[in-house]
Amino acid sequence: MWNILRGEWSKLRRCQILLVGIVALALCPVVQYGTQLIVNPEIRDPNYDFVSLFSNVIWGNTQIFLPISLVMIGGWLIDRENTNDTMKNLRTVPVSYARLLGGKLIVTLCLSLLFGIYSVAVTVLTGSIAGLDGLSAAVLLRQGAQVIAAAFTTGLVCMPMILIFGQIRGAYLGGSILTFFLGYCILFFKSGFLLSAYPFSAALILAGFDMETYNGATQPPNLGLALCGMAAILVLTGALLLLSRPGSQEGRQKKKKGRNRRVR
Amino acid sequence: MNDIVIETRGLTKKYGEQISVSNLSLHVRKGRIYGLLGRNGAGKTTTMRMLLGLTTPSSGEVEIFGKPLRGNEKKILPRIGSLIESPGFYPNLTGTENLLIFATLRGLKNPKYVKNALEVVNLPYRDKKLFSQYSLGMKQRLAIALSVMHNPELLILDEPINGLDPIGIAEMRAFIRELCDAAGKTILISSHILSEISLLADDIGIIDHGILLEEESLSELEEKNGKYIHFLVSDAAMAANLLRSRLGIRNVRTENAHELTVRDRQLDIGAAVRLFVEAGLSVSDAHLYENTLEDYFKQVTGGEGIA
Repeated sequence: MWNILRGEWSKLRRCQILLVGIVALALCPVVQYGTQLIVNPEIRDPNYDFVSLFSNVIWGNTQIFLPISLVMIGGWLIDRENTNDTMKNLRTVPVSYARLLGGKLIVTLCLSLLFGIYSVAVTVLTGSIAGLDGLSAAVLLRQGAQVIAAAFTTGLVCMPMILIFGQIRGAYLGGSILTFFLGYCILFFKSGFLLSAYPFSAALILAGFDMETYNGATQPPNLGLALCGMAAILVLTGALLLLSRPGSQEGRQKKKKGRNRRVR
Repeated sequence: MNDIVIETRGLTKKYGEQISVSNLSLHVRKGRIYGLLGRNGAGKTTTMRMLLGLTTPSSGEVEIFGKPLRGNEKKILPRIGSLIESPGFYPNLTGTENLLIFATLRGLKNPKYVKNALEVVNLPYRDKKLFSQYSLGMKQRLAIALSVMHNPELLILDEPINGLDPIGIAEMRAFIRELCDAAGKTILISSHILSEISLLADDIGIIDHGILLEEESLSELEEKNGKYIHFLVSDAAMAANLLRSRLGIRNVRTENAHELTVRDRQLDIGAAVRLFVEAGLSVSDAHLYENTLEDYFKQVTGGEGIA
């Protein structure tokens, strides 16, 4: 498995798709702060500081920017093996298909952590340029850790989507858009079971983030339900890994070779 | 001692109603080059994909190194090097970086494996050129390098000379021959280019429409298909009798009342003509013919020739 991970990491060199995450996560604090600026002065938060910006970034990352970026990148990592016709080389090593997919998921999770760290840096930079108050070592540690934790738990939630859409030829882009909608749906679950168990909500709850200000939750979150929601995602991911079969290459072969040929 | 490295029994691949490979029984012997010859779409690639476990057979069995492939992939596949269809690599990486990834996956920690593999195909080590910037010939060379990097006992090469220039083809041919002769590798090579197969292979399998029509050694094939002498005489039956009784020639066939063919390389044409004339036969034509492999291919497949 270690060799697979080393290989997967090496494959990321000069990959332009990483720019999706880099640009998206750079946009998040800018958009969040910009939103604060464009609202009417009377509803603008006069105490908007670094803590507020960090909270906005965590919400924006999990709701919009990370689901799009991680599913697109993770899905592409799987899809490229068929697009570049490298799956045949991997399978004749032989590399187990489930382990290969598992390796890609682990690399995507590592990327989510790196994106989290990067997001902290971009948030600090944006807040500093904007002249926000309240940046201290304690705030940076507490809020920064929360940004990174939320990025990681959001990465976990995205795993089934990465597996499903990465294995459908060219569907990773569609998958990332669908995941964006799923992330956006956190807004609609203000109470009850789904407030805590809905996977994207669970990702935020497990990172210790209070969603009340953002989705208008009418009751406090339930950590147990959030754990159940995340556990369901992990079970689904495991099941998908075990059930996945490398079939698309054969399908392509079938199309190419199967035309007009019959045994005489 | 069993010297068969690859053996298939009744190997069949169907895609829906269409049959891509039918009841194929292939035998590749150790330390020899087996040329799988067939037109485009004859079933060569599908056969090779089944031999590597990339395509699941609809029925039949594949045995490699004396063991069934199914269930023994982890033991068998590391002993095989392969090139199937077009070279598949990561376009954002250099040739060396690409090979290093597969070397890592194969547990080859020493970079000399990659360096040596690139050297044998005349590609530079640690070159900065990305795979996406490679020419077709360079891509093909890199794929060959990948297939030999781990020093496999068996090579399965699907149209390995595709995209190579004439000098590259000659080099590749010499390289493959050397792998077999000097390093004792067993090689299964497919091609639709008949001349390549005839120059390289020790054993030949002719596949057409998914069916393996012939499988024999090149020498057997030459023997079977080799030179023959054609006579046009006034009485073919009498001429045949004369050849049998006076010259002891056995392999004589009368084609019709005036034509006969002799598949015996020992026959002296001059002596035969003198014999016919002395016996009062008139001889209109005496000619030495040599069938090409292409003629044989046409004869076997019952149709058009091949490139």
